[in-house]
Amino acid sequence: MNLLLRRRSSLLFVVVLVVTVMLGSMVVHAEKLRVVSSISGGKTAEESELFAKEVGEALGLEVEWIRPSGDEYLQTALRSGERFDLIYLNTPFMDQLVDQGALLPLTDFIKNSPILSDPTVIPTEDWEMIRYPDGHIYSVFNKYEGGTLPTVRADWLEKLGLEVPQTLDDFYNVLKAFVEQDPDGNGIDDTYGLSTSGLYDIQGFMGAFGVKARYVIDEDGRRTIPYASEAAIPAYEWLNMLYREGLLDPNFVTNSTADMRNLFLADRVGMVTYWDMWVGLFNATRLQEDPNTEFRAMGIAGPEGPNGERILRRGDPSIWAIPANAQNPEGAKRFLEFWHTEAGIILGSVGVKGYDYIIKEDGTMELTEIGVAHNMDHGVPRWYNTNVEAPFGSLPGVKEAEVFVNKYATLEISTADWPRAEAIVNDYAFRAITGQMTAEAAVKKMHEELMAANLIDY
Amino acid sequence: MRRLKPRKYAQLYLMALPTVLYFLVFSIYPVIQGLYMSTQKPLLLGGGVFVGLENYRGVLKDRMFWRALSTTLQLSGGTIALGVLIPLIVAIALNELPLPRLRKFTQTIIYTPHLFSWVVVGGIWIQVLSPDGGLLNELLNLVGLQKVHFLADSMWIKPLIVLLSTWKGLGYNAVIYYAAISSLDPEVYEAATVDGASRWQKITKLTLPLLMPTVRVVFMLSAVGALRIFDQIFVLRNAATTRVIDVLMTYVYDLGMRQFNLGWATAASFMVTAVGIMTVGMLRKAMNVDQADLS
Repeated sequence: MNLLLRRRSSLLFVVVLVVTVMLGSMVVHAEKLRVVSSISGGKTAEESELFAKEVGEALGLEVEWIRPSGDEYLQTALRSGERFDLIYLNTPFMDQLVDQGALLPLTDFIKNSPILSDPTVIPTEDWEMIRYPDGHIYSVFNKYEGGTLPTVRADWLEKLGLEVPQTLDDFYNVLKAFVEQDPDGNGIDDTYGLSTSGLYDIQGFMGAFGVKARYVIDEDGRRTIPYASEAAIPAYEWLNMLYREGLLDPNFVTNSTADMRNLFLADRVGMVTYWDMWVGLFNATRLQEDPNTEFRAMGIAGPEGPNGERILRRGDPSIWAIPANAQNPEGAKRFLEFWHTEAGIILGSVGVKGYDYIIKEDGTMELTEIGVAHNMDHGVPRWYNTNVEAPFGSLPGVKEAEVFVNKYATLEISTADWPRAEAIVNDYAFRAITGQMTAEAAVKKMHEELMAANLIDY
Repeated sequence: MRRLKPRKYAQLYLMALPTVLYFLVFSIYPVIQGLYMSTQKPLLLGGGVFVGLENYRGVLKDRMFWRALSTTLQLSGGTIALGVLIPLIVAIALNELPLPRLRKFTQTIIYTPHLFSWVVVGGIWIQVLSPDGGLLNELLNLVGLQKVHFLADSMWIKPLIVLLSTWKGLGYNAVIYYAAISSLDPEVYEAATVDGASRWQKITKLTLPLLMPTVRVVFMLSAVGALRIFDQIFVLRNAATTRVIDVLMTYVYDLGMRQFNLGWATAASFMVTAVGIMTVGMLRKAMNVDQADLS
């Protein structure tokens, strides 16, 4: 009897052991999602963990969220054989990956997804921006990008009795008044009319001359760069006039975007060219410092050309893609849908519940101190989905700026050659604007060198 | 022929083994891997397609490579020339200072920039040279001269980089010279004093000739790293001057890290190494460094 009992106990022990091992191995092989994004996600290591947990809970997956500090990590890791399920990237890198067949086509998935194919979630026409000549779409948008446009101190315009500038002459007069009429009223001659961060966005002004940034490719596939064309000469001459007369911040060449923003926020400059979203962030920042501030940033359309034309810059799409060697492409697709739902949008914008925000008893949302510092941006400060309202409304001035961007902004075309071409364009454009060369000579040299390097066709 | 005598020296070979392994793993293997990669068109998800010497051909045909080589030689030439001469003058001047405390204090001051990284040095000089409130431009303004955007002007940027590199490395080379001066035989100077030599004569007829071996060593040390200048260019370049001051190492960096063209980048870096080895070899031979100083 005892022996039988002992045998049964042993058998039971073995069964329990086997079941435990099996369950254990199932846990080890639980569905996992490896995500890399240098932009989206938690802002600190602690928040990154919480972020991954939130995504994991929403998708029923174990999520590893890698947030490197720069873009170099992604290409180095991919090349060294690391396998990710989802990668966040920009369009130039996507072009290269698509060229090498390194991304999964998502065309059918998007078409069949009730979320992503809904035009109120992502406008149907916007998918065309990332469709390749082979007819496939290899990525899904991360967020609504907006665009860049001139942003002016509306309170300074009012103070000096000036109208919102429309033409190049209007812009010149406004910038001159900002420099000469002490708009900040501190009695010191310390203001500039316009500041930029290099040529990061002079498109608003170049547009008045009908000149579009980066590449233009004609129907026969022939490439040109309008900044290196004769049409750009008067544009450089106009900017040189601003530089010569001290209306353009002399540091515009070396300014980082942060330098430029700080000058604007510190009452040192009356106009900058930057993202439409930042119109709101400028206003919010100054309001946060002083609720009674007179500071009022306003996005405006660039100067109109002789035929009433305007060109602004639409932001390059930031996108999510699934590498061809992903181990969990289905999990990645679930994430792509989730990212465009209300829960995903709140996570990508406001952040993690209990960390960036809390829900009060009356059901309203309140930002924590950390949430305020994180500025409602965890990769998705703005989104496409028109069914999801911004929990705290939009920042002051953004909606008005968006109108101009939606009306005048278009995407710029970058090919794999653009980084090489850009160096030549920048070199001579700066020489023309800062007066080291005449605009005519600079454009001639720019065009010659681009042709010689086979970076343009005409 | 000498035999390795493995049994007799087994313990010694065993002791050397970790170092040999270290070099094999961390120096030789990466070089071989790099050579292999330079013959590939690397794929972004790993692996690559063999393209033979195509990457080398591509680099040699690229105008930007030759432009970068020319800029590297100009900047390196200037930096080596000033970096060898000015510290020599400073070291001799230091030696002539009468008060030891003042000498030490001066030595510390001129050595300090060498301790800073280029990020710090760049940050300081960007502020000093700024046309908007920068110290130098304010001084120019005071004496009625026009402001200059030194860091954005294609005429100023190269001399500026040479001067800043010299300024940063001044203390290091000056210390080497000063150590050499301190070790010169004082009896020679005493004999010269007895013979009625002036201070200037002692410097020109004794100190300088006796320092020549050290000058050659400093020259060689400067030349070895000259083709690899990167930090100062990376920190001080901007969109307006990138093409004017881009050197071989920034060319390699841009190819590899900005344009994802790792095959070309590796081929270019091997060519930089080859040019560097040849240049240093020729300089050693021309200056007879091995026999004159290092033997």
